Amino acid sequence: MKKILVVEDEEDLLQIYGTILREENYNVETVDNGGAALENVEKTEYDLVILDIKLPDIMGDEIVKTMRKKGIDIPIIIVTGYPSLSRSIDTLDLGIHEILIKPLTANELLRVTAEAITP
Amino acid sequence: MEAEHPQSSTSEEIIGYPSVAPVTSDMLLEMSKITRHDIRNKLAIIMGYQDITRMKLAKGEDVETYLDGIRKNCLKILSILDFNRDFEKLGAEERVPTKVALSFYQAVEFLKLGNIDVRCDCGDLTVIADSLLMRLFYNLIDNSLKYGDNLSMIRLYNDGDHRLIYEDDGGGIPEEKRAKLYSSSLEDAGVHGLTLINRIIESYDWTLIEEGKPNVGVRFVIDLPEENRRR
Repeated sequence: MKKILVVEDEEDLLQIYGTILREENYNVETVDNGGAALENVEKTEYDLVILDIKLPDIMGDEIVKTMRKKGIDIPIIIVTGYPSLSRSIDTLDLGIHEILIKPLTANELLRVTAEAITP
Repeated sequence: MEAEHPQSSTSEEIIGYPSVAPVTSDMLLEMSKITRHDIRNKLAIIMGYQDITRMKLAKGEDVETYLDGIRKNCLKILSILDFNRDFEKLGAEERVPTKVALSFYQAVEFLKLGNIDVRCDCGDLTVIADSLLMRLFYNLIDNSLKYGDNLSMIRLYNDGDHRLIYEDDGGGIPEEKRAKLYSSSLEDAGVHGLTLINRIIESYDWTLIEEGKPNVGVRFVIDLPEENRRR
């Protein structure tokens, strides 16, 4: 079973993404802040990280940079509520699989997740 | 007998009645960005619950929780829009002598506080303010609820008539977040959402300092200049 880490500070969205992905038999772990996300990716091998860009402690792009510096090269999907931020993140060339703009549908989430995980 | 109106007074009782500082275009722009982001988030939640409802209905499972989630977040959008409307009032509404305790308890009424012990020990302290004073307290309490860890107490009190002190026992603000507390940048607005609070404080010519201790609780000290207090 593919293992996914979802990082999102909005409690409802964590529950929603988790429920949708579990319905498709993904093994989902959720955290609501960047510090916990970094801890988790260091000790657990995930197949994918779904990451909100605006977290209370660390910006999502900083988390990606830290992960890449540490050699954690798993696929990452960024989710943002700021459409204008998506362009600036895109130019950072951090190897992000896709940047999704909120609100996103269950179909969109599942499609992009499947694409990111499939080798 | 006619009840005393808490915001009524005569201008003779007020020292240096402050001029009205209208909301500026950059403040409106910033507020618009925050509003769009917050509404987008709530719509994401509503759409998400709607999708899950469909999935669960197809399996004949209970969907009550998700319908509740949809309703709750529709109401949140309404409150965001109300907040936005109030922000536009910043500096545009007449400021009148306002009882601090009354504004505080008005804010409390909007929030679900459960078993949290909420106290206001400000007596009859009266300041020159508009309806945004209530919003300021709303935001402080809302932050305590959102970020407080094992929160059991919220207290507002005055230290003489110079300072208002807001405290909670929710574990305080971690050092790494403290540096961004006074930023007016949208990028930092997520840090305890103080951008709006800072704007309101600024517009009243007050100052705000956070003196809380990590792992204890927040302690916001609001300094009230003499001309902004009622004699």
